[in-house]
Amino acid sequence: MKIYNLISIAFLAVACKSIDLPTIEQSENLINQYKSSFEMAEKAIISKQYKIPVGNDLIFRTQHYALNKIFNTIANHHTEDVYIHFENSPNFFSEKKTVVGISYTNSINTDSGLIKMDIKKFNLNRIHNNTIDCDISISGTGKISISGVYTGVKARATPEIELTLDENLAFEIIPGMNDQIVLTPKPKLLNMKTKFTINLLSWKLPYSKNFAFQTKDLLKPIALPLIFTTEFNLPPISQSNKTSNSPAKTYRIRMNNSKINAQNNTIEYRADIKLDKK
Amino acid sequence: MKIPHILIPLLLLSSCTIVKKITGTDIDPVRFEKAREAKMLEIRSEFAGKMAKKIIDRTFDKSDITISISQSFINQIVKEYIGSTGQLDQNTSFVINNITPTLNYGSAIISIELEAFNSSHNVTVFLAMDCILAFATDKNEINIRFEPFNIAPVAVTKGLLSSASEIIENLIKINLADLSKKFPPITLPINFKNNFEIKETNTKISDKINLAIKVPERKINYTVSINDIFIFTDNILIALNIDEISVK
Repeated sequence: MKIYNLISIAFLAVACKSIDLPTIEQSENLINQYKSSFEMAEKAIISKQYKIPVGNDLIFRTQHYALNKIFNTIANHHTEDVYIHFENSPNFFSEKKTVVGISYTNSINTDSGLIKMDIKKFNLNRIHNNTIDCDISISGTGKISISGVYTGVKARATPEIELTLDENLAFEIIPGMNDQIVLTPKPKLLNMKTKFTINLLSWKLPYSKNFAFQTKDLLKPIALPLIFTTEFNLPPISQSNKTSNSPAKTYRIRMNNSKINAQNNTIEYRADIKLDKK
Repeated sequence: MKIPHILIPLLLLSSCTIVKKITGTDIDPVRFEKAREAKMLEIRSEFAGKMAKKIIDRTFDKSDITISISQSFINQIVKEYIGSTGQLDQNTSFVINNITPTLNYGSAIISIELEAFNSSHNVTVFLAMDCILAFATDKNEINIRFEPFNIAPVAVTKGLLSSASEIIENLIKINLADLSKKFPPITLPINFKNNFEIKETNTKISDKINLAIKVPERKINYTVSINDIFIFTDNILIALNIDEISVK
């Protein structure tokens, strides 16, 4: 640091009296001095940069833990993430009975009901082979309206119902339009479990059912932005003798040769950039 | 990235330390080249030293997002200034003939070849201006500022050589801070406020019990903040963290 102070003082001492310059010898001495300190710094830097990505104009990298910051927030933020509407379903359950030679049928309908389910967990576990494996856990409780006939008597009830979905999902990672990274849910049959007790008059019956649906019915592809803008403004050089400057030139950023490689819990997007004047 | 305080007096006064290298004057070209080389190396050494200290923390490995921008992209940006014109002083206009950026460990230096024309003496002087590209980070943007640290004449092609020395002396004594203002900062094309959607889905299940499943649309907003910027010889690495996530 001392040397810089000395140089600063030396420059201050000769401040603009004339156009001065160091002699060749003085410059060479400075060159030697700075060269050795530069080489030392260079060596220290090279030893630490083994993972620095190179080879394209733009290389975007993110890790699974960073995406989890977002997806965990989605899971924690709302309590009403999925709405399940129970629609009119006549005779979803019935049983024939015969008592002292008289036959009758007990039957139950669902009339209506809205259960709001909460995403309890949405966690990305692993990124490998352009795929993200994740766990999702959704659950909710509420009441539905049922009606039915029991021993020939019509009745209504609003039993408590419980719904749960615990699944492992996989997303395929693909480059999207407009320079995005798209997470597309891989097809899989999901199972949502329901459980409630039919409690109609003196008829008490535990009931459970699994509903199957595809991942696409729950989640559409998610397009994550690359953070890089698609337009770019280049301000003009100021004209000191003019009161106003010409407007900035606008360029469109065009990504060429874009590709995605997702391995070892890292998503990497690479592209070359071409500036197109608008 | 800030220019160290210690360099500020050097940068401001360096216009007085330049060798004249003009045809027909008493300039020694070797002396000029050596002085320029020493100045360049001083800057490179200073910034590489700072980077060597901070790279130990490897903040780019711990960041949520890294964006690497190549030297060739920086080339594309600054080359757009070739042919741009401006005024050095009331009587002296200039045109940029060429710009060459060089990335070093910890610093980006661009060398600008200016052709300056003094209308009162009808003299054209070719100047070399070296600038540090200083990365000024604000909360919501990264600005690249041109910080000239060296301006020197390299040739006179026309006009009266007898008046050239005086004009050149005036030109290279231009306050480099004022010269910096002629180059407005370039904002890097990075979005610090981002969002994406989880789109609505609607499905009907026809079974013994009929269901309609609806997943309402969610808009996820998040911001990124700058963790650090590292300049390597082939690329500039910007380390970012995700924060302020909200779901609507």
